[in-house]
Amino acid sequence: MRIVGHQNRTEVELDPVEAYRRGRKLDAMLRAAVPKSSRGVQRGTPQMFERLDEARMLDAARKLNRR
Amino acid sequence: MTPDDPLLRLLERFRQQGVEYVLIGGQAVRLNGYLRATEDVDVLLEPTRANGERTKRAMSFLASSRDLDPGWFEPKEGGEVENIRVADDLIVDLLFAANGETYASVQPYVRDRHRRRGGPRIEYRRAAENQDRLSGEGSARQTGADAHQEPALIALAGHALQPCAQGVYKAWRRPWDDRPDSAGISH
Repeated sequence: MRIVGHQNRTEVELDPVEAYRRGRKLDAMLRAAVPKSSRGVQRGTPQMFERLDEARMLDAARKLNRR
Repeated sequence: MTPDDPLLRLLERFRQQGVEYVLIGGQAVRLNGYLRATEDVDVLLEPTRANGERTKRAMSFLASSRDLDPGWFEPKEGGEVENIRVADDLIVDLLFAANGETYASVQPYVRDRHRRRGGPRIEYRRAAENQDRLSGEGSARQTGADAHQEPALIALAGHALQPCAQGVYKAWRRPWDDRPDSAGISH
């Protein structure tokens, strides 16, 4: 593997402020790829939320693969 | 990071209202040094009605929070409490159980940090130093993200997590060392 450019691509960032800033950028990229959640309040078991999250991520992956 | 950052606003309001919470999941993992994307904020909460009332007040800036019922924070007979998701400008998962762990069971692994941002102090409480434990044990299976980050967190243990060995567990109960480090973070 050859890393080019000057952008910091390491997954490890020990400065919490910088980690937070870079993490928010990653979040924005993720948000752009996944369908929006409908607003509101839900209650359920951890397993139920895991199933919902996995279904959303699978949906997002399929959409990305179709591009 | 701007003053309008919704996550920082949430944590500041948790602090103002005295919510008993522990930040876990992707947000906590990254504050411990391992970066990954996440779309929600996971907080483990003390399961009491009083904490539910505080949480609802703290989250009042999110319109969806008006549907929260503090009674949901009370354990049912048998001790079971259902987790709650508030999806709004932020997606906030209010958890009472995460991979078999609870607010009470993670206490030995929590440490606090707070950051000065010009005026108000922003504080976040975190448990991610033992995210490997949170993802590796318990009744629930590991999620993909948890399983992926575990080796990295173990590798980080000798660096970012070193303060754990210096006795800052449960630091919110101790007088705080307010000396800021180079990043403007007190710890």
